[in-house]
Amino acid sequence: MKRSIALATVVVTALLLAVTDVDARRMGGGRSLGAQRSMTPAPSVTAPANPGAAANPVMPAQPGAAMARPAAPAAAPAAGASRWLGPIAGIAAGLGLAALMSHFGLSEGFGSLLLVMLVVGGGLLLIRALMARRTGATTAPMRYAAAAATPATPPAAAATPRFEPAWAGGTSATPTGARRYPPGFEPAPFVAEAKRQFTKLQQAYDRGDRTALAEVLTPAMQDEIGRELDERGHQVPTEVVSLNADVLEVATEAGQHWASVRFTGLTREDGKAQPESFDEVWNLVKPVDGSTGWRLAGIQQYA
Amino acid sequence: MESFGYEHVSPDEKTRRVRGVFDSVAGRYDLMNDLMSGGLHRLWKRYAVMTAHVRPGARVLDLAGGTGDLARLFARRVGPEGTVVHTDINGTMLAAGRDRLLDAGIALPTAQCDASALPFAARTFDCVSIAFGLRNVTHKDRALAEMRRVLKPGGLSLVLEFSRVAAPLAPAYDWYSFNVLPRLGRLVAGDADSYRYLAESIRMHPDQATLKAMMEQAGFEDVEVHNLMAGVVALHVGRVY
Repeated sequence: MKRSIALATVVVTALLLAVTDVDARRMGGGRSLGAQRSMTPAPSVTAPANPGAAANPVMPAQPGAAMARPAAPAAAPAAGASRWLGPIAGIAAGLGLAALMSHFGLSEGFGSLLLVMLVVGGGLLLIRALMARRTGATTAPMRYAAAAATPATPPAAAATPRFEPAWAGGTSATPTGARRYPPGFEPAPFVAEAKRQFTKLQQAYDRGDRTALAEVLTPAMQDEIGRELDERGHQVPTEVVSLNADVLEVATEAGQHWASVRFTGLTREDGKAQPESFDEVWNLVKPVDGSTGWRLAGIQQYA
Repeated sequence: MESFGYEHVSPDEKTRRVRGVFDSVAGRYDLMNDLMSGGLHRLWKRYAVMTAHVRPGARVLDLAGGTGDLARLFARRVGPEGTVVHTDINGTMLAAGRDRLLDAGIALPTAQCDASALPFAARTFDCVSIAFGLRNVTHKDRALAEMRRVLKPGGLSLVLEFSRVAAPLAPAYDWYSFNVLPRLGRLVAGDADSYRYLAESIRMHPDQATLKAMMEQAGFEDVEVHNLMAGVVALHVGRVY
């Protein structure tokens, strides 16, 4: 009896805590949800580094991790003796293998056989890589001028962004120098449209306007956000104090265009006096056939 | 040419005549509103402010704020961290409103300004409202463009105004407007002409769909129309992203 009471207390407390936790936040409540993407390009997206790649509509390879995190220790060039460890180990293994073979009385002929097998294996790998590149090249080219607008907004809005790159005192230039986009992709209008959509979505979320949200969320995200709306208490509208956007990656995979947009800035949530900074990546998806506009598939916390 | 009620006058003449009307009615304005609408104007204003959903700390601009009804409701919502700027083009109305607000213990920044040439920087406010004022503005398109300009992204505009009543109610509404209103005006405010102007200017004001199109023209998005009392009054909400 006593135990069940204790258990009930724990459950009720947990529920209460959970409810207060989702109160009056911005959309997504500052957590990661929905489709998560690693920004390093997937193998099918990686295009060869030769000059002919410019004609390829698929995303060119991005040097290093596109997420531009501070360089991970593993990526740093190995220093001193460790640089030589690889070759030395290789030589040692070769010598060891040769010694082993001669120990078992295997002739030079066996060594040649091994070499032939290696060459055949390498050739097969090369053919596979070439085939993969050819299938990648047959995907339809992207049309970003039209793609930037969702059905909810007039297409003209994408072509003529009505706001300067930054508002409310944010830094103006979004760093796009290190990014590489598919040919024909214009980051500036895309960024302007992404910021409009961010504000619009936040407003719809504040109002609890599920119809407006359904237009720009994938079904999975509609479920997630719908649950947030069900659970939240009194919603104090979130103020977006400043907002910057940066397109990290645009890629095409399995008949869908993906765009990862990093949003940074300040929001004032829950009527607090002090604005808080946020840094999150929104993963947007749009079918290659253009049957819908861009929809939000997931939010990833960046910092 | 601009319409002053059913007359066509030059823009300057309209501005001058509207000033005359409000100088004349300022003292009895609230009493007349209550009598004419049966107190309903208070509900309409409340509904408008409720729809705006402003957060504590927000910055609100009330245009043609007159006797300060909307400003008072907004001031309560935005709290001590927020700002409500109470404005009107008519000095007499503005002074009456400021005095009333001060009597209620609310001190707001007050500015006499023309809605079609606002003395505020772009992207300053979270919400701009104009209640029963757009009808009297000489250049409505300019006023709407100005409201759009001073809004921050994510902000919204409220236009509360008399509008086109549903057809079945029109005869009764017309009879009331042209027979009862001017008489009430003469009896209570001692000015029948001003209240005839009120009834006429309501007829000349763009209907729901036209005003919605004008707001979209001015750059507002997702414009919503809320009909109140079968369209006697309509609240237009326009957003900026």
